[in-house]
Amino acid sequence: MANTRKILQRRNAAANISKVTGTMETISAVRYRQYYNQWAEGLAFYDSLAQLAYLMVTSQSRIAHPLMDEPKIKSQTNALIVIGSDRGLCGAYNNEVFRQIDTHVRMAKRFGRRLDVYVKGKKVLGYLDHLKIKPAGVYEDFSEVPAADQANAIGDFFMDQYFKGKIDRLGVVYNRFFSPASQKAQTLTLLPVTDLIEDLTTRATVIWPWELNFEDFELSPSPEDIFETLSKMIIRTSIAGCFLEAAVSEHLSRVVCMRNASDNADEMIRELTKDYNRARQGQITVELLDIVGGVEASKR
Amino acid sequence: MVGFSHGKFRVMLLTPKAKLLDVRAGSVVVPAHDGQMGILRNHSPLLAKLGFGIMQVHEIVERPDAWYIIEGGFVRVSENHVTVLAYDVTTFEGKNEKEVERMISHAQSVVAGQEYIRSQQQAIDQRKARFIVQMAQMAAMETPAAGGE
Repeated sequence: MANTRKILQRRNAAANISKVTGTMETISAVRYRQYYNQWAEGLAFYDSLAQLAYLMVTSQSRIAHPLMDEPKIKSQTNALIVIGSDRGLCGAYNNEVFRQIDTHVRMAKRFGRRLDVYVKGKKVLGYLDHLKIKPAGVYEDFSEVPAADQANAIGDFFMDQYFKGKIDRLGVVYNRFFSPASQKAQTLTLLPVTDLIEDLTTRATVIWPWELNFEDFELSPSPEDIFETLSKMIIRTSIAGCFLEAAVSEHLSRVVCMRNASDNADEMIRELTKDYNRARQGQITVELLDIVGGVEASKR
Repeated sequence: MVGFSHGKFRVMLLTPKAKLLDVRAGSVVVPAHDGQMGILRNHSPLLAKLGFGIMQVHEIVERPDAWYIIEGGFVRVSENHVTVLAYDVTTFEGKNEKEVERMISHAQSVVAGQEYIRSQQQAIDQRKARFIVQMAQMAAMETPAAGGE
């Protein structure tokens, strides 16, 4: 009797877990769809931006601009934006980001540089606390993906720091979303902007305007002004893009994770049901034997 | 080249979050950094910085004209492709009649100077409001039914 009750308890617990994981899967699946559509729609924008950047950096005439050159004041400081998740239960999503942070911390120590870490996500905050690093800033005014003006403000803040010589480099650690089958944690360097343009122009997915030169275009206003506006746009929209890709990756990884958990819970429920039935049958058999034995004994 | 393309060219309006327009049109007016700029077929290759203003797309194949408020960005014209890259775009498209009406009346009150302090708290600024009113007038003048659905 005690045995079957224990099995029933365990089965109920597994059923509850399955319910919770199933709900989380559904919620994340909806969010994932939403962000994925945004991401897919935005691809054309980023491709066009990359094409413009390509035209800029392959120009024959030299464009002189502070964003194009090495910074004159060396501040020995790297800024790092780290994008993780607020909630757990999404597999290795955050751990991969943590591993990247470790690498940056070690490298900063090795080269004697200061590291300013700007954080999105409670899990990352927890990890920095564990590393005893005080974050230079925390983004809390948006939940997952910043609005256009919020992303612009973030971009402007770092460009201002860069121009003032307070930082030499800016990187973003996030889970890049290549396709639904592939996401990977990586660091994207946003400043100096030449590094970012290099990353943009080496992406294989973009069709390059081979037949065009920068010199073919009428420009309004001057090339320097265009370069500045374009660089600003690349940096600001790349930040927005990083947050969006991180959100897409997070929800996809949670969907996959929760589906596995639900599957495991369902299998456990099946096993426990089998065990319970067997135990119950065994109990009935024992009771029947008792009755038969009793009847036989009373006949004598 | 006359006949097949009827003087039309491809126009794309892209933002980081959406592809708002990908059509063939007869003429486009974009808000360049130094004033409105009209573009027709066979325009010479051009790269221009955009300011804050209304982008107009006319003579679109199989659909009514369209207007968009652009908040800075870029336009690239080459080989009869006009690509507009913008941070953020405000439009009546994809909104139902009620939403459009609310947007316009709110904008009008901001332009008229009422609710100015309240409007400062809500995130719509005076210039954008003026453009929304202007865009509503354009839409009402050229296609009386447009801007609704």
